[in-house]
Amino acid sequence: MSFISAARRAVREAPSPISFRSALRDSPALPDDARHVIDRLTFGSTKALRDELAADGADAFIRRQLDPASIGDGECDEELARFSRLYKGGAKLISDGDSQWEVQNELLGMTVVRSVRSRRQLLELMVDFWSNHLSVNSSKHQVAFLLADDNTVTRRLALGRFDQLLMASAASPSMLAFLDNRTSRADGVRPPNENYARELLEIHTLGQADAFSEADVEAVAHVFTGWTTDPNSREFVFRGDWNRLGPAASRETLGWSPVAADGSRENGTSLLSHLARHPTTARNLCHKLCRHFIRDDIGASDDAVARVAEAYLASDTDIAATLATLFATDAFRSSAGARVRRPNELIYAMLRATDARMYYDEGVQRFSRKIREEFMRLGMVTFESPSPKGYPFEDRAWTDASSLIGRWNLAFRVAANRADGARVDFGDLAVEETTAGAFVDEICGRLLGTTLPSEEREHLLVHLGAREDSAVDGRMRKRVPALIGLTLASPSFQVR
Amino acid sequence: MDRTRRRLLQALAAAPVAASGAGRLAFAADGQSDHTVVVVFLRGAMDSVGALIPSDESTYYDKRPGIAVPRRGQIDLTGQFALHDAMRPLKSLYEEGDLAFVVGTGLDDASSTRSHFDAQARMEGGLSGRAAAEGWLGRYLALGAGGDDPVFRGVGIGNLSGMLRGYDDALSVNDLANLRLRPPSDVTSFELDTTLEAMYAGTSRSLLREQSGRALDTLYLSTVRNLGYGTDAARFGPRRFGREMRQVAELVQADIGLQAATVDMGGWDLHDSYGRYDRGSMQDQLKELSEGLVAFHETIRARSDVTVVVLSEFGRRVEENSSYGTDHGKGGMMMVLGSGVNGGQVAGRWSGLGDLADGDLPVTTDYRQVLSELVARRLGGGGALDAVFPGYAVPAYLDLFS
Repeated sequence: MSFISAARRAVREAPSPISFRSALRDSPALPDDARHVIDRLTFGSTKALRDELAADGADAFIRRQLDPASIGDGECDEELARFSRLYKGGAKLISDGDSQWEVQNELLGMTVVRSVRSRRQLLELMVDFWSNHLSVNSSKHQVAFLLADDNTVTRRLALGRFDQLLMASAASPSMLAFLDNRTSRADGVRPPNENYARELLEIHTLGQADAFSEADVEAVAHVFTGWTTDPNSREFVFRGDWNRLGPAASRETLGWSPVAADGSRENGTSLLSHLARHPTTARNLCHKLCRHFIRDDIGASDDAVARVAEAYLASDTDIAATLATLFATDAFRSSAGARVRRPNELIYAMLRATDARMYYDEGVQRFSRKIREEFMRLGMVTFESPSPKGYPFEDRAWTDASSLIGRWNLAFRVAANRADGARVDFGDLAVEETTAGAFVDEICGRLLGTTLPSEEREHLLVHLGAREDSAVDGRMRKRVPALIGLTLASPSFQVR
Repeated sequence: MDRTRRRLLQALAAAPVAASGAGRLAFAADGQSDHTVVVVFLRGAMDSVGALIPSDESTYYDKRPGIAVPRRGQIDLTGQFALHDAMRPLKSLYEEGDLAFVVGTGLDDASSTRSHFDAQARMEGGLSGRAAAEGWLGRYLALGAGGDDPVFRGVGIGNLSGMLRGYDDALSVNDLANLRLRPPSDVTSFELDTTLEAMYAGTSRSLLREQSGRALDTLYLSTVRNLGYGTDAARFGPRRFGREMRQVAELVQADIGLQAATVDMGGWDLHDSYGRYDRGSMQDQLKELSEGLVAFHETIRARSDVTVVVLSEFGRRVEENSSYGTDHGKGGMMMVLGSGVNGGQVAGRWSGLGDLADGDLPVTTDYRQVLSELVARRLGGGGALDAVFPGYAVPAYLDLFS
């Protein structure tokens, strides 16, 4: 049975609410800046997005995405309700004896749904950014249970203020478990645990090892002694009896001095607030944002980075205001296609381009386990970075030979409707176009909303053994899955 | 890749693999042996004192009232040192002379840091006081690099290790079995890779263009050599480190020009949940490590041209912390394994737990002292040590390799 007739039969048997129709001729051409904004502020182009951009323009879209509360997201929320166990809270997950492995899978599965389905695309993109910046590894003992709630907090603050996000991270049960701070106490017998203190300075805020000393780490570790979790509720508690400032009491630490005596939580919150506003933090964080949103090799001393850092400090660490400045820079506007999609971004973009639906027929656990396979093959499972530094986002880290092979195989699996955890309904693939050139453009257009650049497009014609104006025959029509796969595997689809 | 080169590769790849080495793709450059080095990096700072235990020193037990391995959980090696019970499988390798330990290793004291990333970056770079743009293995491979390097010459299992940086053609491998195209029905993989090759050759995105040639070479070779199905998977077990060592073993056995492979093993940053000698994280980590090393050694032991080096960014404090774990320290240990190793010895200078520097075991052997000897005596790079470890003058060799 041919692919097309199989697909048609599947459609007859199980009509899907989603259909794969986004013919080029139905959509107005989008200006380049609108395409660029789609590529950078979202996890990939869809027909609905292209229509939205065509109607409103790029600037209005940016403004709306920076204010996610203004965007209704009912359909996505409905789908998320399937992941019911993740809503019951960390303490209950633990006391019910839920499996960590299953919860880990569903956390990933739920994130896939949000990234692919949510209309608040920039918000989800930033949740991904912060989950990587303030990375916790869900495979560590108990962390997955606690991350379900903490990820909700990250989402609430992802476009809010960084000082609050940092505060939430410091007090989050998952971070307290991941970097061991929940067991850190200054009891005068053994030294406090320095793990969190060090990563707070080196990764979360200042970002460079030469910006602080060992003595700073020791002092900061003391400040955060007693930041722990209640063994029953699993929620954050401050244990004043575990807290001693130690060396931090009598020195200035990175420009900060204690505001209260031993046994006060205020010292920690005050230090976090100080670190969030530290000029080195501003530079580090904004450089990272620029590398993410502009190009991975932008210099720390680039004008754009300086302007974004200024906006960050002037707005009192407001993330949406910082991003608004970033999106207005010339460096951003002139950087179309300059970033390579990381594996998670590629998976989301393919599922969005093909209007795929998640395969829930065997339950959310089964779906989550299957979709995990796709992330594993590409070497990047969200929430499971082995390093507290998160996954690298340098283009080169994800483009070596085996990464490319992984990308190509994913494209062909999606095209053959064999992607794990997702189903594509290619619906009516009876492309009416009668010349090979128009035939190829129609297929690319349904996926991308545009044609491939000519240096890539010409090889699709060669693949068909056709010239621009060759008549489309039955043999070419059987090539539709291969053409879909090649379009998704093309150089153009690997970048954003 | 142009067609001529692909045909050449194809011919080479189709040559039979024989135990004698016929059909071997030998690509080593002048001044390099075709020896294979496998570097295992224990990420997160392995607690060396809890693995190779200074069994006869009371300080060990005094400083670790909660987590010291009791004598019943130790395997005696030298009277002075004992192995953690979870490393029992390594004992016979040690006794047969294929495994040696080096104690007190790390970044030299003046430059040492307690940051994982900083220390890892320095160690990957082959430097002490700072990180480098290139890794030491990358520099070694770059010495002999040419346009026609075999695709599997420098391989990072999992993600690309910083040690390989500087060698642009390094390849990351998760699972060899995935390194081939799986086309949709009605199309051959040849038709697809021909089109992909043309599309990527024409793209203006240079990074993708450059890497695609390597990707196509890789596809070819892995398909022709049937990579991914050549070793006994059961021997290596289901755990991650074992599975990754299996990939390396298969590349070694396929004789396709592997000169350097890196394997990372994480999970060593045991500030808490260190566990007891017979349950919990530390013994579990050691068990996984030991089983993987033994399975690898058993698979390739008949060969004298493979050496495994195990290192970690630093050791851990001798004293346990308030979470019944250990925090970041200084001196650690290294292991070297292979049939050309002068095994059965604990090398390096042990300063004793009675003489700690700020609570830490001091670094008495610069990690580069071990690696320099490896490069010079096993990898044929004696003349290029300064290029591999710039600014480092090796004081003497520890005679770890014959």
